[in-house]
This record gives sequence, C-alpha cells and structure tokens, in this order.
Amino acid sequence: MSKILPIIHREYITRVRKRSFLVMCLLGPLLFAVLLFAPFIMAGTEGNERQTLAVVEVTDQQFPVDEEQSLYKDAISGRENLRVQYLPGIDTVAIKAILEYGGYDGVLVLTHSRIEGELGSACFYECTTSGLMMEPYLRESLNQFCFQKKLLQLQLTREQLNAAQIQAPWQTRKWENVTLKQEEQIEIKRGLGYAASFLIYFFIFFFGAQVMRGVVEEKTNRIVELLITSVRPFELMMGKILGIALVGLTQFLIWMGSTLVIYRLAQMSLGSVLTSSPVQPGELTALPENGMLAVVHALQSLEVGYYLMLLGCFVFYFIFGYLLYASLFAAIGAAVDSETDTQQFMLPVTIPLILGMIVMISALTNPASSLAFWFSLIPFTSPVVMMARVPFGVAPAELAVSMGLLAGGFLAVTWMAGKIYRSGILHYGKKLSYRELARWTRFKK
Amino acid sequence: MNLFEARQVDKNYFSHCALRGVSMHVPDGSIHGLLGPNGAGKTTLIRVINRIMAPDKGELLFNGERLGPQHMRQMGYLPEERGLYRKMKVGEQVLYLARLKGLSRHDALLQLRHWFNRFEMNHWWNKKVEELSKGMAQKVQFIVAVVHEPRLLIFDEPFSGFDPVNAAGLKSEVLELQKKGTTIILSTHDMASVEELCEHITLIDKAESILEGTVHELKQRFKDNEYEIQYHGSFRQLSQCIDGIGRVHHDNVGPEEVCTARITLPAATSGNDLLRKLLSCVEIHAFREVLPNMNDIFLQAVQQNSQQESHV
Repeated sequence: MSKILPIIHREYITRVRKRSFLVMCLLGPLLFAVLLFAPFIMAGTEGNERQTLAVVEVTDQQFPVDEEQSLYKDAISGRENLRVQYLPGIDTVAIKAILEYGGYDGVLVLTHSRIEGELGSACFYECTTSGLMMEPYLRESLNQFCFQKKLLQLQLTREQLNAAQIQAPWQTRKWENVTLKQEEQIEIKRGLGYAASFLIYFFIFFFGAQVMRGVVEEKTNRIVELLITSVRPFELMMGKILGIALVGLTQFLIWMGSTLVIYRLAQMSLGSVLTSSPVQPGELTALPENGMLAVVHALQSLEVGYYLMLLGCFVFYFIFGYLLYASLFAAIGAAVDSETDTQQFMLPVTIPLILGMIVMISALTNPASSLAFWFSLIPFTSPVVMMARVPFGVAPAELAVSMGLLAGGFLAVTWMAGKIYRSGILHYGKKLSYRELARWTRFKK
Repeated sequence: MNLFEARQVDKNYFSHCALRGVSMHVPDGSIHGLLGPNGAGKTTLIRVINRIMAPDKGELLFNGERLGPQHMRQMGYLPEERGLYRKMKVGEQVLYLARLKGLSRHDALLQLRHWFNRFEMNHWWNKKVEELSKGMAQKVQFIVAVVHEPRLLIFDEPFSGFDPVNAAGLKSEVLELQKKGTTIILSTHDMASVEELCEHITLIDKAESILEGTVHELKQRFKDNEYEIQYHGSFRQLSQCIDGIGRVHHDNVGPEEVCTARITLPAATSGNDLLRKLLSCVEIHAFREVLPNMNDIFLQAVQQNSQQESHV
C-alpha cells in the first residue's frame, strides 16, 4: 500500500499546480459571496422602490370635509418606502379622476357612515402591481386605528389604553431542547442545510468528473498498462480518488478561509453593529428589520457545539458521499475510450444525485417527512438529503444508521467499481453495454 | 537455468481464446525473441508475464519461484503502445514511475541522472512530454523500463518509431544490458533485429506456441540442405556434373566470370559428397551451406501450422 502515496501525491500536485485551480480558488469565494448576499441585495432594491398611496376621505353627505374635521387623517402613517398623501373631502367623480390620472400605486377610499364618526366602508384600489404589496399593511393599520378610536370613544384614558395593549408572551420551544428556537434560527438552519447539501452535491459532481477524466486520460494515452505493472489497479484507482479528494478539500479550505476573511472585512467596514453585545434570547424580535443583521445575530445565537456537530456531519457526508460516487465515476472512465463516450454511462450516476437534490429541497421545509427520512438513509442520496436535515436535529440512532449505510455502500460500490475498472482500463475499441459491465463485476481476474 | 518459464498457459477473454497451452522458457541472461503474426497472442502473453492479467490455467515461474507480486520489482516493461502523461514534465514523470517501481527518491534520482547523461537528454528534464518528438519520447519510455535495474526486461516492439541511427543506439544499449546480466524478452516483427540480438526464440501462432529453441537449433532444423557455390567455369559443365545428385536453382554471373549458384541436395547427400563431385569439374572459389534466416523460418513455421490446422 506504500505505492498509493506517490499516486496520491502526483494526482494532488499536478492538479493543484494547474492554473484552473488557482482561478477556482479566487472565483469560489466571490461566487459564494454573491450567492450569500444576492438575496439581501435584491431584497434591498425591492425596498427602495417607493410607493405612493392616496387616502381619500368622503362623507356620505357628499360635501367637502375640512382637514381639521377629518377623522381618519392619521389612520395610515407613511413608512420608509411608502408615501401617503391625504386627500380629504373628495366627491365620487373626483375619485375617478384620482384613480385614473393621480399616478398613485394605490388609493384607499374611506367612506363615513351615517353614524357620527363611524367608518362606513374602506375600499382599496390597486392601481399598479406594486400596490398589491401594501394591502396587508393598510388593513392592519386601519384596524388598529379604528380599535383605538373606539376605545377612546369609550372614554378610556391614554394610560388605560396603553395598558390594554398587551401581547401574549409567545415562545416557540422544541420539546427536548431547552434553548430558545426563534423563527430566525429556523431560517438560518434552513440556510445552513441548503449550503451544506449544495456544497456536497457540487463537490461530488465537480471532482467526480475529474476522477473520470483522469481515468480516461490514463487510458487514452496508454500509460495505464505501464502503471499496472507496478501497482494494483485498485491502488491506482484509490490513489486517484484520494488525491483528487485532497484537491477538493484544499480548495474547500481555501474557500472557507477566504470567505471568513471577506466576512471579517465586511464586519469591520460595517462597524461595530455586527459585533455589538451578544444577543439575548427574546431580543431578536426587537432587532431592526435588516436582513443581514438578523442573519448575523441568528448565526451568533447558535452554540459552538452545534456548529461542531454540523461540521462533523458535513465532513463525513462530504467525504463518503464523494468516495461513493468517485469510484463510480472511475468505473465509467475505465469503461469508455474517450471522454465523449462517457455520456451513455453518466445517466444512472447522475439520476440519484439529482433526485437527492430534489428531495433535499423538500426536506428543508419538512425535515421529518417520511420522504426525507428514507432518502437520508439510502447511501446514494443520503449525503445530500441528510445534510439538509442535520441542522434541524436528527436522532443519533438515525444518523448512525445513515452513516453506517453510507460507509457500507461505499465499500460495496468501490469493490464493484474496482472490478469494472480493472477490466475496463485494458479494454479498447468496442463500445460496451451494461450487460458486459455487469459481467465484469463477476469476473475473477 | 531459466529465469522465466511459462508452462501450459491458457487465457480466454470470455468466448475468445487468446492463449492455449503456451509454454516459454527464457534462460537467465539471454535475449529471448517472442515472435508471431499479428493477433497471435503475443501481447496477451506479455500482459500475463507482467501480471497485468492472470492466466486461466498454467504456471508462471520466475527464477524457479511461482511468479508473484514480489517479483514485479525485478521486471521492466516497454509496452508497444507507448504511453506517458502528456502534460507532465519529463523529469517528474520518470521519477514518479521509478518510485512506483519501489525505488526511493534518492536512488531513483541517482539512476535517472545516469541515464539522462547517457542519452544526453539532461535539458529535457523540465520539458513536458507533449513538447518532445516521438523518438525523444521513446527514449524516455526506455529509461522508465530500465531505471530500476530489473532482472527481466520485456520489450514490445522497441525499435518501432526510431530512425536507423537511434535504433542502432538502442540495440547497443540492449546488448549492454545483456552484458550486465539482464535477461530480455524481445517481442518484435523486425526479423533482422531478431537475427542480430536473439539467442532463443518462441514463436506463437493462433494462440499456441508452435516453435521454441535457440536460433542455431532452429536454423539447423529448418535448413534445406542447400549450398551456395562460387565457381569459375560454364553452367553446362556444372549442371552435367551434379546431374543426379542435386538441383541447381539459382545461377548468375558475377564479375570476372565468377558465377554463383545455389544447389539443393536430397536429405541423404552431404555437402562433402557435393564438394567432391564439383572439384572434378569446375574451379571452386567459395562453398558454403545456406541456412535459413529468421524470416524464412517464421514464414515456414506459420505456413506449416495453418496447413496442419486445415488438415485437422
């Protein structure tokens, strides 16, 4: 087995020295940063779009009401991205003109009832598609306003009124766990699960393909015949797989490192906001509505042990998921004469991966579903699916079974792929069928 | 003492039979030719010897022991389909391949320095293989085969792709290696180099070994009792003289009226009988027995084999 080391070394060195590796190292974090920040940037630009609203007050007597007399002037207050214009005492004909030529995103028409001061009807006209988005806010504001108005009419004092404004002390807790689980944490976990699963998926595809290409290369330039007079085919295959795994891990570590550096830099440039006092449970609701900040605080609110557990699982599924697929990719490489021929055997390998990706998405919203459960046990999909579930907490026994199956699956697949590989690397010419590949797996030597 | 022996080796690829009862004996320190038409099974036999494939039946012995992975360190291989990593630098590559053979980095560098000096190719060390000409790459491949000082070297078509000058250089390297005690199996279609280098041969045809022995032995076995004479005199005289003894089947007039003729004798008649008869009628300038060359033996053996097959 000592010969496997020079093989690993060669596979590693030749790849790490390539210019494409450097490019990937530089582009990787940039790509991550874009993926990470793009949603917030997009959310930001969405918020910047200012909307205008006209609040029109009409009385059923249909004559103008002075501004002082207007009862609903303060019903809707403006927001950062909402400008409210109050138009008292407009008659119904004028409303039509406002709707048509006023250029507002929405018009809220309030009609007094015959009973003094009561609201007869509130009708909201959406004039543009973005007007749609204010509806919940308007409804909520108006409800509040009417409610307070009514309380005032009941001659309650301001103090009484404030005292009446209580909210149920709501908390969501997970049964086994004592720590608080806020909504933000759920989102963060979803994000972590997605990122981990996606990385594994990407890693398997990208570096699995490199294994395949490497095998095809050795086969087409015929050096393989020379190599296997010195080393066993299995050693050659594993050396390649492990060497490329190290390339991937190196790349990954560089990415992680540089992403951390970028994060630190961002932290410094954003000032002390991000490093301000650690968040206390329950305080999150009081945070300003800044997506970035909420993410950072939620990230900080999770314990170190949790991250370590996550990292441990990630590394396991990352490595074994790759190993499982890499040997399949190696077998494909050995079964064909050139890279263009690989397509015919790629499908059965890519289908479970893509299937895993699909199930992973659904597992993010429902980690405990039976679909997610089964797919996180099957070795071919478990690396991707289980990593989406792990952040939400998975029973240790379940995790152990999944890991055990994956490790066992790796051994079985590698054993089988090794047989195909051994026969394949010496096979030239005739295109192969699956039947022949199956025969190779039973072939003694 | 045989360094390598194959006994009754069978190898089948599913339905196709590549080797059937093939035996081969390679004496220690010899250059052994492995001959045969295309598709006869030479490459398969070489792969079996190299342990790239295991035989279905039969026995392989290295230095009297059953051939095993422990012997691979003592074997070197120059495959017919030359292959190197095209994008890798020459020096790194040969060092890597030498290390796979089990050499330490230090020993490998020492050996490589020797060979690179010998072939005057030190300046290639940092070149990529794809920058080399075919002949240059062949030299690199040769070094890869010999760098770990194997006891048994297997050369599959070593001279293909070389110009005459380089081919001659390679031949002298092969002889040099033999002088140092290396045993060499040489698989080639180039009969001239077989004649030049080999002491023993094995001829494989249609998956079977049909001929084995020393070159001398085989020439004796395949000779036709044919003699070549150079004489001064007339052809009429000559043919009258040997009428009833042998058959003249070649005659031409050389410079200064010295004629050359080839005479085939029946099996019972010896060269001496012929010479005695000739001396009485023409003036003999030269007299020699014509031995078949390897090309003739090859053709004849393969032809006989296919005739036998068709009889069966």
